[in-house]
Amino acid sequence: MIRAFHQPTAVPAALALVARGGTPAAGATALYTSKATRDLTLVDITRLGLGGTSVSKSRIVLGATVTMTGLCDAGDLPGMPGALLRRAARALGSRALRNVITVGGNVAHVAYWADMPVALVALDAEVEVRKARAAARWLPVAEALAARVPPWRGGLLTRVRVPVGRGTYGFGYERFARTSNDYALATVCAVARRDRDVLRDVRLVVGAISARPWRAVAAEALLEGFEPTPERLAAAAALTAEQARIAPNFRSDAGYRRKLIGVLARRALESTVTWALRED
Amino acid sequence: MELSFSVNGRDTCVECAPGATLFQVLRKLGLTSVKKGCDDEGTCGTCSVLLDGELVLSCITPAPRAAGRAVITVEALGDPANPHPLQRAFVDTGAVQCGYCTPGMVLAAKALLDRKPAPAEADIRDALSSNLCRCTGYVKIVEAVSLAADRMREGRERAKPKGKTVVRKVRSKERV
Repeated sequence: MIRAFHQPTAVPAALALVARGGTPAAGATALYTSKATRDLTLVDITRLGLGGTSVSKSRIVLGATVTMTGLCDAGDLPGMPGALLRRAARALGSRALRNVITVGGNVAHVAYWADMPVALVALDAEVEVRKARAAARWLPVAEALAARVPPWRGGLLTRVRVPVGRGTYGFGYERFARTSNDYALATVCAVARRDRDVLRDVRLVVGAISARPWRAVAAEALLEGFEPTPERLAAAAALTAEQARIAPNFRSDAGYRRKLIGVLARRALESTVTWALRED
Repeated sequence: MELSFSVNGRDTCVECAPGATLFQVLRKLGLTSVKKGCDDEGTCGTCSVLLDGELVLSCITPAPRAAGRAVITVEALGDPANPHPLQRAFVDTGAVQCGYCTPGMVLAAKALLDRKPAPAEADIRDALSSNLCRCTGYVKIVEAVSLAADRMREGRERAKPKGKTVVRKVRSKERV
């Protein structure tokens, strides 16, 4: 039951409200569909000026309340990270949901089905956490998501920054859901840099199968520093499927999803290599 | 709490609970085109409205978030005597059967055509991705949006002033 609704227009005011027990809400889709029965004081963070993006030579910075539609339309986000963020945002939900779901909310909610964390972990992104009476700090998104208590609890996730590497990168992003509105049954994101004939900085991340995005480290090692032959890509995809720890889900059984992960991983890796080996 | 916002072009002030959804407030105002289909799950699209021109699902939109903003429902689009081109196209193509999803569909299509007057079929399907229809199979709805887009573009073409003025305007834009 929502007992009060605050709309602060400055971050310190929002932090003070959250410190007093307020629940931050941006798109608020998860909150309203969950039909929470406990008493809540909502703190609407959509008027804090966190809805913009900025770009420098080495990084992209996204405000926490940038919507998925905003990301889709952000044509100025550079390089592979920009293209991957747009691709991931466009794949998420329906148009009306993309108009309100935010980057920060999709991370901070820590839902197993959340899509944006999969791409952000693959991109080695960091999140900015702010709390009342404490200095702002940046944390790797993978580390923040792995914490037992999310570091933004009692404060706000205010920005996300994504490094823009120099070199030729490729990516693949494969999301599979029954309908555009449904949660993903599995999402796979692959990223790699081309170094002459071999792959470097390989990231292979699987989402929507367990509580947090899972990095397929053994499959990454199978590719790191090697020529991406079709056989090696197939072996990495098969290893990803084999090692994935899949939580029970009423939508489909683990055997089906394991096969699905193998297919999606292969497609994501093939797309990555196609991108990475393209002529400059 | 008090909520002041614009509804279909009219300044409106209503009393609402802090946890009220925009859907609840609009229904209280008598706007029956805004419908409930999925029990506040945000999955059916029948409650769709435009909030500052953007399509939102009113059943999961906090009402207080509409403060100071403009809401458009299908009541503002046209009437039986003067239907909006989208409404006329829905009728002409047989895109309306039971009609329950139609207001949401029309608003989703309006949001699309306002930002993209010449959409491809993929754009139309993406724009309607929030809206379920259990009758038509979507084919005729997609046709209706395409037809309305064509007619609206033709209407704009016809409305353009003829003669030298138009030529000058185009050249000036090109220089920019």
